[in-house]
Amino acid sequence: MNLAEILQADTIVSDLAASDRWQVIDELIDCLVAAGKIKLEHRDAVVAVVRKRETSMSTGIGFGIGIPHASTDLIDDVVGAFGRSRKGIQFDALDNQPVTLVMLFLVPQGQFQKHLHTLADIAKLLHRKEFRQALEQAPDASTMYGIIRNNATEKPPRPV
Amino acid sequence: MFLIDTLILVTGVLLLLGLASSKLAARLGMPVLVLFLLVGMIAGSEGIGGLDFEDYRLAHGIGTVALAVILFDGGLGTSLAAIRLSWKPSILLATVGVLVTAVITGVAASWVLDISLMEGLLLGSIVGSTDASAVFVILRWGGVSLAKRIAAVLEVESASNDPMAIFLTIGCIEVLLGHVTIGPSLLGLFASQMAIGAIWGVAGGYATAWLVNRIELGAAGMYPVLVSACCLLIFGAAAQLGGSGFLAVYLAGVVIGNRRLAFQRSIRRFHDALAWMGQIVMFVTLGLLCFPSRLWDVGGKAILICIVLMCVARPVAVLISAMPFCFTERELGFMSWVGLKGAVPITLATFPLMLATPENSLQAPLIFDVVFFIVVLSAIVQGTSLNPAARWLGLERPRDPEPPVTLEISSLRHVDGEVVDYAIGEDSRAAGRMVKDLALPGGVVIALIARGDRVIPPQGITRIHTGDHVILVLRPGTQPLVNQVFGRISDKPAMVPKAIEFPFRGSTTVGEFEEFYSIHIDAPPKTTLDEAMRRELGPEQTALDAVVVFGPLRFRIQRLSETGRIELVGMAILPKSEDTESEAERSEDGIG
Repeated sequence: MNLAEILQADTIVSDLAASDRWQVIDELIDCLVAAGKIKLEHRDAVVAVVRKRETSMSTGIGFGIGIPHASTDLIDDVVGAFGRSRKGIQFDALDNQPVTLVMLFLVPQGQFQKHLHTLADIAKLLHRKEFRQALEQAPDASTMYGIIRNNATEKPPRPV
Repeated sequence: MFLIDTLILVTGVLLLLGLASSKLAARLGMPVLVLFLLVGMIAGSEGIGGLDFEDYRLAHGIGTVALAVILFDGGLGTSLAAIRLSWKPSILLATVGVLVTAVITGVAASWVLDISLMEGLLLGSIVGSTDASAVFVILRWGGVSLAKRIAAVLEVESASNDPMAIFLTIGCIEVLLGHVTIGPSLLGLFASQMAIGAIWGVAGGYATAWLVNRIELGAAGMYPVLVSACCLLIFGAAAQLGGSGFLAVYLAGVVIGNRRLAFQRSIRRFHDALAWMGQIVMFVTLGLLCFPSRLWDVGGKAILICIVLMCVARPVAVLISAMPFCFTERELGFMSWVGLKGAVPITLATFPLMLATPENSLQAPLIFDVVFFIVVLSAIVQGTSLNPAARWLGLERPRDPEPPVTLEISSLRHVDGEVVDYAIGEDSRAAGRMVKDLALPGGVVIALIARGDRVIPPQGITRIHTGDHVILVLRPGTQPLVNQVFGRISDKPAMVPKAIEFPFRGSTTVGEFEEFYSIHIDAPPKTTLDEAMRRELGPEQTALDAVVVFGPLRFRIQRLSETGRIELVGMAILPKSEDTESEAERSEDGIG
């Protein structure tokens, strides 16, 4: 499974309103609710599991990337939402850089082991500077989705 | 006028002169202790002061108390990290090194001064140790900023070698007086001095820290006194039981200084002040004790012995003790030159003076004068040349920039936290930002912002300006993160991600991992990552960047605490084996 298969244009937020990582979790889960990926009655429970993982330590992995993730039995398939912040989000990342790209990644309960590599691939993809720059310059969500689709299937080049 | 009134007047004047001379010392680039000695000599019976002071017993008493306080303060300031970095070469230098120095100098002295070999060895033992206070003054407050390892080795060595010199001196005197013979009984004396001193010191240190954190005293000012009282008790009890009191107070200081303590700041300040007081009083007293005219008589011979000490004995001792630890020639050279002598030799030289009687015909006055001369010469020659030597050998490192923290106001007692004041410089990361935009970790609260003479209650939208003082209440352990928030922009970020890793605290439990990632780690769920990783690695392998693999996850140590606990790890997801294969195929495709 790759990023393009998880996302679609309506689960991408091109201009996040959130200013910290707790708000961004709410905002992206609301986006998933609006897109019909998560039932409205499950919203608060899903927010809670993501927050719980985030409380143990920030998922800000540096380079302005945050990948909040969790597993829950309230979904049947992997779902994700992607957000871009123009002003930067205070994410308590180790390198103290504000986060501009946030990928929320949710896995059905008990399936994380199976999807660990999806998570690793997402992290690797976002680690590529050109990809990040392209996403940051895209005018809207559908362009962002196009960039993701063009890059997601292509494996990152091996480091020399 | 009562006698005590005169005494108070004289003490006050001498202390002030001592302090004034310290201003002069900085300007002359001379170790401050030389100036203190000079003040004493000038005030003494042969100087303009004309003070007649020849009470060796009192001088010895003052010297011993002052030394104990100085060593205790030195211990308080020795970080466990420095000890961990340097303890092996330091311990060898502090034992074998002192012995080698003492023997070589002693043989030379007995030949030069035409005294018995045993008396020569006594002199060698007296000047065998490197002076802690002199080294601290130069390394901590002086202009030199040395490479970390060298600085740590020299500090720990100089702080811990006095007990060995003291023991050798007492041993030589005991042999000279016929109380013990050279052989097993002397070794037994050594073992008991060191073992009892060490055990008392460490146990006493823990007990003191425990007591300070538990006891309820009426006034904050009583806590430093409590610590001082414990220090005296530890010294006295160790000495009474046949241990080395000096070793005991030094180790107690190390233990206390590295534990979280209520009123830590005031305790440190108080003992710092006491140590300075001890320095001035001790050196001025020792200066009073000496007769400059007698120094002239021994001058030539003392210079000879001093040359042997500085150019042969110390370098050989350093070579033998530090050889196994891969120091460069330059570093060995520098360590050889830092054989500064200080108060310990002069204090030790009063031992034979006290014990000399017409019957045992000990050459005590001669030894005292020679030792005095050697100390002054060593302090002037080596003390003034250390900075140029470090520069010449290329061992200087740029001074650490001033930390953003200006002062730690106090450690709170019943609340598990600290109050810290950050001064916002022009290049601080926080300058110009709003409070709500600061990436402050949990458990950290901005209590107030002081701007000029105004106090601003912080709100989310309050903007922090250059020149502000931001006063925060911190949970212990969060300070490094907060330092980053207020640190300089030019500072390298503390954590540059080396790989794509998710950070985790060492305190995260295995159970939490299994819950988050539905993977199985072979350890009880209550185990923390810190414990599980250290168990896998063993104490030898637990180091920065060490890696443990649990199933598909690889954990790398990103940060260790001073006590060796794993504080932060980076979790990476290992590629699937078929992934690596397909990647290898693709790269071949790429070449074709």
